[in-house]
Amino acid sequence: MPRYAYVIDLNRCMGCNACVEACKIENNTGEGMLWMYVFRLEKGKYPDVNWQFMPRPCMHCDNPPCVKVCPVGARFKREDGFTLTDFDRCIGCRFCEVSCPYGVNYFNWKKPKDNQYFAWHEEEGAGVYGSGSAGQIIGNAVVPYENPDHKKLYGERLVSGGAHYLGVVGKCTWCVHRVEKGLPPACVANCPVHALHFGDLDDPGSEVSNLLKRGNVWRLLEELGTEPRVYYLGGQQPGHDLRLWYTRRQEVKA
Amino acid sequence: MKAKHDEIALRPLTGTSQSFYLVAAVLLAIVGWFIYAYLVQVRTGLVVTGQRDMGMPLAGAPWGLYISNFVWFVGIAHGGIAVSAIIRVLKLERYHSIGRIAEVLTVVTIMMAGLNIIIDLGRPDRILNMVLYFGSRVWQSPLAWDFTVISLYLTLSTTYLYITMREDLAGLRDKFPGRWKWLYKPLLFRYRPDEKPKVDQIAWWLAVTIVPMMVALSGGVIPWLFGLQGSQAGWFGAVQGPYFLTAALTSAIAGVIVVATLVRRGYGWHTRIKDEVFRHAGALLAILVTFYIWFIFQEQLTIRFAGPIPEFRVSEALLTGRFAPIFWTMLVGGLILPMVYLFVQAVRPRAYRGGAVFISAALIIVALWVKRFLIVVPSLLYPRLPYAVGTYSPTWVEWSVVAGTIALAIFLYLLFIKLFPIMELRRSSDA
Amino acid sequence: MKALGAGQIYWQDYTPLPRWRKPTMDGSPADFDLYLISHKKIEFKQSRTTFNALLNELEPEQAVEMNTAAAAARGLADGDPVWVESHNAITGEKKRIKAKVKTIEGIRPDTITMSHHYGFWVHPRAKDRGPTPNVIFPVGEGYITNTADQSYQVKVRVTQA
Repeated sequence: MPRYAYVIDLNRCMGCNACVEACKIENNTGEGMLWMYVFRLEKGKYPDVNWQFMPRPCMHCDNPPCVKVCPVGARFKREDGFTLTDFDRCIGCRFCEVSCPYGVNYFNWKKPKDNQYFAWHEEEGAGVYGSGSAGQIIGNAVVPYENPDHKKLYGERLVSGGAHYLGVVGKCTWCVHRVEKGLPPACVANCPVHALHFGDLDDPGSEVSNLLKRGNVWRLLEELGTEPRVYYLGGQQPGHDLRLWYTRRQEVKA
Repeated sequence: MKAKHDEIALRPLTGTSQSFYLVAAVLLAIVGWFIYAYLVQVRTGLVVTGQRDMGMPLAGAPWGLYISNFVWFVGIAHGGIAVSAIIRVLKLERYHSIGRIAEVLTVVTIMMAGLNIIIDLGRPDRILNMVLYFGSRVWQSPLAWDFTVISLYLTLSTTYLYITMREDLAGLRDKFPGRWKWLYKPLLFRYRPDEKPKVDQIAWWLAVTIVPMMVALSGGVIPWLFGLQGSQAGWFGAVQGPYFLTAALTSAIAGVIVVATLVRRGYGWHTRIKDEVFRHAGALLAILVTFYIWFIFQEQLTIRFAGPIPEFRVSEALLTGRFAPIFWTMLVGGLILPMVYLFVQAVRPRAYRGGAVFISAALIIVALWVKRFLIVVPSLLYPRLPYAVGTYSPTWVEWSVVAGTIALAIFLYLLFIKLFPIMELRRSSDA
Repeated sequence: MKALGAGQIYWQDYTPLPRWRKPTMDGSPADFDLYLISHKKIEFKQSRTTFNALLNELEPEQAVEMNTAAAAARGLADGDPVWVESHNAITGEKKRIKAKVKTIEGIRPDTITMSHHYGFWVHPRAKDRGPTPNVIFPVGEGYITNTADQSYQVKVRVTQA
């Protein structure tokens, strides 16, 4: 049984948001959901200013508050480290969301089809891209939110994929559908500067094991006792002296 | 004497005024609007509410009015039956007349509390999962504990109300033969006039069970929804247990005062429910409110004296920031002023005015609703990580649900008054 | 050129070897006290990608990035709508656009910056995301040169809208 961990090298991260986009496309999360998010933080006063870019996937904690509070066991912990949501069981009470100190849970407020970036089933593209619906233009190929991998069961539970179900809570799955195939999560695969790493801690030769041998390794909000599986290298904990300057907020409307 | 008493006590069942129909029609209209709003929510998803995800990019509050409304209803609910149980266990015969008024308040409001939770769910169709996975989750999840205790409480309070009412139902059946027969007959299943001593015994034991349950519910699982969440600044802490228990008792006593005043006025029961009852309840309410204010002070002092920065941000938003106007209005207008008056009328009987006690109790109920909102929402808007500060503004759907559940509670209460004796009939043994 | 108000013809901008001269924008009056520059964001490609819904989610609208202290001195807070008004030092022409302030520490107090990705008005998804600063950069005498070294620098003033 592998013991998966995720390592983020903040000395390398340049805040390009490629991981965010990779996640969105891989998991087809709807509008207003950023399973991966990159903090752009600022410290100090002009002219002594430092910036820190800090990606934030789900921490897949070893002592996860969300698993503890779930009243139906939809949020659960796998032995290899994944903290996953069973979309077939979730009742949508959002208790996991309020219990999580990292803010990684995203509820499906809207019907998934209405929450896609592109209305595949409507004639939105007509006039701009030609006639007919977007689905017709791409020759009725598999539309992104119907990736068959997400409909498979992993560990006999429906845990993969994004915004496919109204009224349930979703969050980063560490791309369980890719990891089970032997691929790294989409964010890791797409990082242009190799700031993100994913691997097995039990394998002493793995990339993550080697990275963790370096100094200045810390985990986010460690004092809460959640035992995150995501390790940061370099940089600093986001205390009160680090300010989010990149506050692009978004609204989701009915 | 008995006949006279019963005649007075049965006033709601023997005559219905036009204004009753008017009130019922207005309430039903609000309930209809609430059902429409809920259907809109079911059809489009919870996006029609103002609730949004914490953190980026939506920066909202995942819990909002529904949960604060739920906590408020549970508060009122849990105390009503406790009042009745304490009256029974301690044999406080002077207050006997408001016993059933309090019991019915409990049954009605706890149903509304449960309803609020179901409305808040994203997938109400899967509510049975709570039962299916109960065995494995009850060891960890505070929401599963809530489910347990609320179900138990509803069962116990309904049973208690029912068995203590059977004798009166038999009296009604004999008094108005034919009327509501289909309703009374199944309720009087295997009724024997000599069951009275047994019923008294069961009721006594039920009452003894209910009093600790009250601590378990409002001093336990409801605050544990919040107080155990180490991740939410402003929620975490051991103070939440007694804090919530005091709030619940306060709102329950205030609720009983409000309802009893209205019922007494509506049916001219001034001889049955004496002023003394309200004076004493008012005094008790004043003491409870004092405790509550002390808890608020206690909590805020701890946060501001040595609290960590995330806690401090929440406190700042409450005391001096964006929630300050609501907070101070709630504290001064809804708690301190009523408390002062209630104390004055307690020590100086001349200062007692039925209307003023009623208004004080009503203000306290409203203040506690606002306070529940101020517990649930501000913490969620100030996450621990440096996300943008959140915003939350409830939509018409949420306000409709709040108004609708309150209207539904009042309507069910009125319905009960029309179908069953809200005032206990004189026992045949007393005559 | 003189008819248009130009004091001199900047013929030295067109010589093979560049020569230093006083920047044109420094001829603007003192109340145009901020330098406006434009930048590109890492998410976008020129102005051609603002209709991409995924990228718009990260960068939904135009912002005037401004030093926190400089904004406070003008009575502005983060998110306030402002007019950015530029002055053409040659012709005296003024142009202005409206956008929202974004206060940050990592910029000089005498400079503001706006990204040049927005202002695309055709595509429904790209519309209404704020203006492009290009419309207030002066073109013509003194600003357009063969090395583009004056083209994207102008003095502006920022006022509450």
